[in-house]
Formats: sequence, structure tokens, C-alpha cells
Amino acid sequence: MDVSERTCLFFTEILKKGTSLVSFIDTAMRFACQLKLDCNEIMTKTSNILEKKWSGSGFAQGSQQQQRQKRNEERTWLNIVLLERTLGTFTDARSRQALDSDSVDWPALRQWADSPYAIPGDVQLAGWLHLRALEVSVAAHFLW
Amino acid sequence: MQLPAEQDRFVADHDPVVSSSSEAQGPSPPRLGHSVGPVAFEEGLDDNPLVSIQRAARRHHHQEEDGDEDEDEEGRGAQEGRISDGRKGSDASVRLSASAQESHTQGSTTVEPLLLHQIRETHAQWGWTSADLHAFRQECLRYIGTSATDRIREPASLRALDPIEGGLLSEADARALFDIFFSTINNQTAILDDQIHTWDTVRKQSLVLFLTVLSTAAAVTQEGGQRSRWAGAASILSSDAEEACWLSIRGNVRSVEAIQALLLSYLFPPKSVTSNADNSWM
Repeated sequence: MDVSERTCLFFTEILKKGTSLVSFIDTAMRFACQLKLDCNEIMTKTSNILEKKWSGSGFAQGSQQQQRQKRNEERTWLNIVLLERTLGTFTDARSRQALDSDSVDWPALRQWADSPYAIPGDVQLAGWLHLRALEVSVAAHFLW
Repeated sequence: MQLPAEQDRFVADHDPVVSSSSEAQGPSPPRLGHSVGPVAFEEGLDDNPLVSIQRAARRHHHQEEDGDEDEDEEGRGAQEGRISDGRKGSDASVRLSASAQESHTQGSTTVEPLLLHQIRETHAQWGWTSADLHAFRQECLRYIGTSATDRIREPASLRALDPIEGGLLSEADARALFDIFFSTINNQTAILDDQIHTWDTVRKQSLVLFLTVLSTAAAVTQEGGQRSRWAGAASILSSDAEEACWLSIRGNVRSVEAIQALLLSYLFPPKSVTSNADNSWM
């Protein structure tokens, strides 16, 4: 058992005692960041710009299966961001992913939701993210 | 400290300097000063790690010698001349061979840099053999080769929770639950793509996602307002799916399917018997 496994075991025992389902979202985001799912073309974090340019991938590249796989990873990251932001709304916690216009490519998200390879829930996902961004910007005016 | 005979033989077989000197001069001590180029590190990846460490030690010793060379050109001893013969040319080579003969005839011990001597002595204290060093090199390469972005598949122990192999569900029932999930639940949650998450791929790639999909469908399915025929298996499937999620976290599984299973487990938590045990709001 190496160090990472021991660390996982340690946190697993702590989380199990807490029996909090929030830990699933935190763990999912940790796994996603380890897999670099945050390095996608919609959520453009500043630290990922170089990596995006280096990868050079576009929306309309690759076969249908490759594009669906790519969209699957992007959809997973968007779901994690949405759920973490939703939890942060209740707990007033800061999210790992900002939703301002500098961090999210909103036209790209709209194009992503209108893709021919989109599943029925993609439009709903994009809409929820728009609402969360609106809520964040409005709350920023009132709370600070 | 005396090195083990096996390790000495191993070093002599793999070190070109030691090999050449032993062939040419018999049992003479190893000659240092073998020129190591800038690609020594890349070469060392293909060699034994002990040889790489020795080369690094020599390079480090060369750099130290460069500083002393400017200060005292003439008053250098025989030992320093041997070490720098690779850079000094024929005069140094003559001086080296003469000094090597002299040290051999005088019965002196091997001339080694301090760092190399310490490394060899440490290895000897640890009792490392060539097989140990080879295993250590393989472990290092495996650690370096497995970056943080590599996907780690599920452990084989998760297969014990397979509901079909375990007899909890027949394959027909499992397929029916799978179809129910994609026709009703997935349209609202937007987590899985039915074109790439087919029955075969999900069952083959990720058991934790497979279990989560089945438990979610079994938990929410009703037939005409009545309990479905999977209601009995739903609680077992739910506990198995939760256990699979914890096993995935504990096993440090890194895959997109495991992340999607965690999201589904959050969205569709197991139903609690009492309101006190309900933790879905947490």
C-alpha cells in the first residue's frame, strides 16, 4: 500500500464516519482534476490556456466516437461544477471553478449544447450553468 | 567496507572503465577519468542504476577538479592526474598509466572519488545485490512512468459485487433496468451518453458505474403505482453500489466512469428507513 492509497484510506474512513454525500462531489472533483478534465474548451481557466493551445483540439475534430468521448468528459466536468456550485450556494463555500466571463467561454458552451452529438440533457445543463453564473454575479453585488 | 563479491563482479561487468582496465592490465585498480558526455543521464536510463550513479559521481568529481586545476597546475599529485587524464591528453595518459602501475605495485587500494566510495559503501551496508538494484530501477521507472493523469482501473475485488454473476439479477432484468435508466433518468440528469455508454462498454469498463445505474433504476422504478419486481433487489443493489463507490475511492480509481458513478450516487442516494437516517440533504 503506497502513500496515495494510505491517504485515500485515511480520508475514506473519515468521510464514512461523517456519512455526508457532499464528500462524493468533493471526491469526484478531485478525481476529475487529477484526470485534467478541467482542461477543456468551455471552462477556460487561466492556468489551462497554455495547455489548451498546446493540445490544439477543436470542437469539430476527430470522428464521431472521439467527439462523443470528448463531450462525455466535458459533460462530466460541467456536472461536477454545477453540483459543487449548487452545494456552495447552500454552504457559502467558494467553488474551485469560477463562472465569470473570463473563466467560462459562454458562446462555446452554447455551441456545445447545440451540437448534433448533444444528448437531451445538455441544453438543460447549459441552462443551469447560466443560472448559476447569474446568481453568482447578482450575489456578488449584494454580499460584498 | 568490503563489497560483496557478486556486486563487485556486477560492477566490473557493467562499467566500461573497469572492464577495459581489467582486460588490459589484469587486476589493476579501476581507472577513473572516463569522459562522461552531457547525455550521460539518458544513457543511464538504459544501464544499471549503479553505473548511472557512478557516472554521476565521476561527473561531480570532475567539476570539483576543474576548480582546483587552475590554482595548482604543477603541484598536482598522482591521484589527481589519474582522475583528469580524460581531458588532459596523451601526457596525462602517460602519467596515469605510470601512476597506476606505481599504485598497483605499491599495493594501494582503489582510487575512488569520495562520493562514489560512499555510495558503494552504503549499498554494501544495505546488502543490495544486482537483482535488488535492478528491481529498484524498475520500481523507479514505474513510479515515474505513472503520472497523475493516468487512469487507474478498478481493482479486481470489485468483481465480487457483480449482480449478475452473484445471482442477484438475471441478465434480462439487468438489461431492462439499464434501458429504464437511459430512457427516463438519464434524460434529466445528463450524465451519460447512451451512444457510448452501451450495455457492453459499461459492464466491461466499470462495474461501479454499472452497479450505480442498476441501483438507481431499481430504486425509482414503479409499475402502475405498485412496487416493481425489482424492489427486493433494490436495497441490495443500493448498498452494493455504495460499497463499490467507497471501494473505488479507497482504491484510488481514476476514471471518468468512477466520477460519473459518484455523481449518480450523490443525486440518487439510498432511501432511508427513518427520517433521522436520511442524509440526502447533507
